[in-house]
Amino acid sequence: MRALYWNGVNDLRVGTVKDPEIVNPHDAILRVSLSTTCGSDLHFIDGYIPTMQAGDVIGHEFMGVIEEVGPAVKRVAKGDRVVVPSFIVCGQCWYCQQSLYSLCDNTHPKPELQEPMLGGYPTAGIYGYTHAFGGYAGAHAQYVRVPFADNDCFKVPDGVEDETALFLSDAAPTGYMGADFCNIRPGDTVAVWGCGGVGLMAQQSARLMGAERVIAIDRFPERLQMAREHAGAETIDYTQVDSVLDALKEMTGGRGPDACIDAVGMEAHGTGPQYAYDRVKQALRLETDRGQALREAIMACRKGGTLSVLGVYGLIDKFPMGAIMNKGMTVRSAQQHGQAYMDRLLAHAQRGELNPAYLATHRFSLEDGPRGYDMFKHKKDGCVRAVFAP
Amino acid sequence: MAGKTQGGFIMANGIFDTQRSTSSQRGRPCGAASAGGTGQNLRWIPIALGAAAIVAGLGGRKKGAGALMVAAIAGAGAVGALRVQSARGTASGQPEVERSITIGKTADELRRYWLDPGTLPQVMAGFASVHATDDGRMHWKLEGPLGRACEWDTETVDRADEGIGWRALSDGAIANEGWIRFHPAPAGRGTVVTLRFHFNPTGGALGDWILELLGAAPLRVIADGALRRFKNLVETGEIPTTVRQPAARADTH
Ligand SMILES: [Zn+2]
Ligand SMILES: [Zn+2]
Repeated sequence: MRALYWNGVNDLRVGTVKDPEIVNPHDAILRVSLSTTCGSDLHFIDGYIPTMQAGDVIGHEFMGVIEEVGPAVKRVAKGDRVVVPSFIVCGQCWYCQQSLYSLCDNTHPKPELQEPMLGGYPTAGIYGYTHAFGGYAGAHAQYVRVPFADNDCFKVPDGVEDETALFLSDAAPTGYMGADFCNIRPGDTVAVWGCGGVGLMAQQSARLMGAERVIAIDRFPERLQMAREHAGAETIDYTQVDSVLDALKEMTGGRGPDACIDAVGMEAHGTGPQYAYDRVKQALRLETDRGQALREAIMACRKGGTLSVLGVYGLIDKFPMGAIMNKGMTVRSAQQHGQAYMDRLLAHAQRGELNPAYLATHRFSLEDGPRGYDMFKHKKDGCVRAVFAP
Repeated sequence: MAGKTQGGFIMANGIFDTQRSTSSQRGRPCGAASAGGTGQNLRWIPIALGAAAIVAGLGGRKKGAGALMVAAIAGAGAVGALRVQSARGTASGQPEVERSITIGKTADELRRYWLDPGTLPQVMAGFASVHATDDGRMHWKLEGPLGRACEWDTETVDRADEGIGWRALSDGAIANEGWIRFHPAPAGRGTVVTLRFHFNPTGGALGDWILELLGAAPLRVIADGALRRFKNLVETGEIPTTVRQPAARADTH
């Protein structure tokens, strides 16, 4: 089959690889209909997360049609059109029973690669996202193997388009979970840093959960426009104000947002055409820009408010713990527990309350995958998400 | 249980994700070379160093120590790793380790799974190839660097409340003992499973070589891997793996 793979730092290629096969009894093989880029992919494309191997098939957000199932698969069958959350979960362990799906104990084949980062407690495995996160082959391909298909494949109802279902794989459940963390009550104002796929989904979700006001913070005019149009958000272009903190305080009558969601993370703001120049700038951001949104969210939040962190971080210095402690804030964070939200998200999609298809600003054949990632990374032509069809 | 039907699924799993030699001669003396094993164990060292790099990248000022620690744990420095392990072993320096995991099954269920002859071969797959023999014993084969292998037989000792043990028969060149015990976790959260491993190699040059061989796969990693595979298997009926999956690499075509 054809697949998009990582060949080295900033070197993606399309090539022919063998087809995936049923290996374990709960596996299914999915014929991929659509897959999409994600900002978190840029971490390993740029070489910031080690444990990639040349030849690894990438991609963790996808939907498609089941082609084949293993002998223990009961709930889904060949021919089902399904969406698959990015984290592979067993559905049986204590964490799965608590709906903390991305913390599943039983789906990481190489936990010893990840344990040093996390104090000895590995996460669930992810498709196409480094060997430290399981080393599973990704979904930018014609076919992908889905372990634990009964828990991880969700049938897409008629009337929900492929392009809508695609984003229920990661961007929508991540954003939805981020809003859920905020425990939104009537009258609440929720501020969201970042208007990428996850940020926009968090803004729309906060609305669905009853937020009175949503305030979106970014610097790209086309993304701020999407926030206004699709999430009914008020917007702040942080390059146009002296202080985001002052702007938020003034917009909320001196009270501050009830909840602040960080949907930026390490992948923010890739610019610069030169590879070496890029690397240097990004390396510097490890200590500067990358922490900026998170620190700002902590400082901007009202007393007793909630900080919801969806951005992906390694280590961050100058973390204002005193503000969190003295303002009595609640901090919530996780990789997406998509399986916990999928039924609700599909229902929202079916009723037309959540239609993330507008994130698909650019469409490519899988063969054009490297060009798609380039446009996505550099936000060329207003690219929010590049979508691939094998 | 699903174990018996899935033996073939999990042989190449975990960090010992190497194609070990499949030579199955019984009783070949420890240290004898066999074709096909040379260098295989080295294949995962770059991965281990990748993990070290993560720690180095995240660890700020402690990066040197962190990287060294992970490299040692992952076995990049065979003899050095053994010394770390030995420090936690017996006074005589014989390697031993005790590790625990919590599994969402009752002690009775776990006891039954563990005694199933199909279980140990899957659980130990990352460390040694193990199979049940006709006389109710287990045959172990450990492949080392440079194609050297070590084989021995163990018998199972069911001590009821004391747990289930195994010990090597006296004619082997390696005295391997271990036991697994089951204690209820609080508030119905399953069972705390504790695994103990003990190796007492014979002395002299052969003993040194076996110590070196074990050092390449520190007991802590072996025990953690075995417990994790046992948990995976009994909680879900399978062990997660990326074996035989597509990748644009020569070794996957
Ligand atoms: Zn993603
Ligand atoms: Zn689980």
